[in-house]
Amino acid sequence: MNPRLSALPLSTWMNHLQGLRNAVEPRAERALALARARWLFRSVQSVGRNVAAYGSMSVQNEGTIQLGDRLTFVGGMMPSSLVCHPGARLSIGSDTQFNYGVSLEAWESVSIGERCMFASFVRVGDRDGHRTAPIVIDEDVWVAHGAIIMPGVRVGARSVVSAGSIVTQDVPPDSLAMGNPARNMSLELVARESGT
Amino acid sequence: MSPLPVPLSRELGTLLSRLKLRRCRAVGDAPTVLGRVWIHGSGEVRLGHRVVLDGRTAPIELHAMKGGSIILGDDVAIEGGASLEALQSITVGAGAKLGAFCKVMDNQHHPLRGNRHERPPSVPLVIEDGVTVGSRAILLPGSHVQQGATVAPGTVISRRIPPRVTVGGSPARVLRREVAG
Amino acid sequence: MSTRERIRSFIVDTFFVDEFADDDSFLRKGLIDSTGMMELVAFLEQDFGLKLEDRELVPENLDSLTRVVAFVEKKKQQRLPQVG
Repeated sequence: MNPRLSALPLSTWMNHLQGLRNAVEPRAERALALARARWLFRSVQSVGRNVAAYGSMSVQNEGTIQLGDRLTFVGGMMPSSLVCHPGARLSIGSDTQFNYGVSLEAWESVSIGERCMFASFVRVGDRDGHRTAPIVIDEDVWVAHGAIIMPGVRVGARSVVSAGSIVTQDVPPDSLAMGNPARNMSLELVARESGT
Repeated sequence: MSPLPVPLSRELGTLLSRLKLRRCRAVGDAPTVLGRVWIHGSGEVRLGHRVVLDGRTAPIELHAMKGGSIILGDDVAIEGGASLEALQSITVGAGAKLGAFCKVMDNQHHPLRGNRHERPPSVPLVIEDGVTVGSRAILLPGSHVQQGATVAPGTVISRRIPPRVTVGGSPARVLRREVAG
Repeated sequence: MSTRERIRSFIVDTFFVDEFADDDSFLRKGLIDSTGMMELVAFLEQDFGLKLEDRELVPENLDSLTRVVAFVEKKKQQRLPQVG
């Protein structure tokens, strides 16, 4: 054994190993997530580039699903689910992110814009028992934890749906939807330009 | 009947619970952990005595991020699917109960307007002694649920809730005010 | 109690803010957060028997005590002819 190498204290070696692990692990996770997404979305007609799934998911596609580039599906305590029924259409714009436990279900049409963020346990479904109506979510929308978007709703660009809200009517652009049933108020009323 | 003598199986249960809680900074006497508990993040998690974590239906998530702390008092009981996320501090008082799939977070993670990737400041979150939080309730940054208050299932809260009241709805309203005593 | 006093005491009691000026912006002074604003709206509807439209929930109507009072007075005026 090289005497110079063995002269280094053990802790230095451990630090090196830890550093190596920190450098390699995220890349390995990323590669696994890309491969997992490819497998999960094998029934999807159109999948963009660099779609990553960091956890298990359930995908049921009998209609047409269209996924944009660089989507991220985060894993967690509950798998997210994508369901598209026969004749229905589900499309998701590029750079949209999904936390765990998100449930998207299309009976007719669900369309999600670019750069949206969906927090954990968000539910978007265009049928609620007696009626079916398409849902449109424009770009840069943030839907916070546990919110539910009901059929026929359009959420305008850059709007925020706050945690636990149940959205039953359209949300204009640049608004904050809150409550059950949700009411909309201008984001200018509650938030400054940078940060809250 | 357990094939093992009762004291021995109890010892074993405690040992197993401690194994599941090995990532906590401190664990009090006689913890009970059923099912799965996820403890992650580089912050600190401290548990009081006789804490019960029942993660049989879904994992319980205690996520203290770098510099954050989650402190559970004595006799706290948490049901499955509950998720506590601390960037700064979450404190749960003695005897408090957190229902299934409730979400407790001291940071919104994203600003409402402007650059969504900037992180807004955290606001410490306090749940005082004897509080009951219903299932699927959401406690947002700045929540301070005072002694003996009850949060109905599915309620969304982001500010102080006075002692011994029951709040519910979204936005939250006081449903019932108990006479002190 | 005047409209101004009723609204002021609601804000003080609900949001635990100390003294604030009538013209202080709720947002810029950090007096009321977004959930609080929802509660203020619910209070105005309940206590004054008004119906606020979502498009009226903008800073021009609600961002300071002076503005809220003016807005409430305006809404009351609008309502009167319909009742009578």
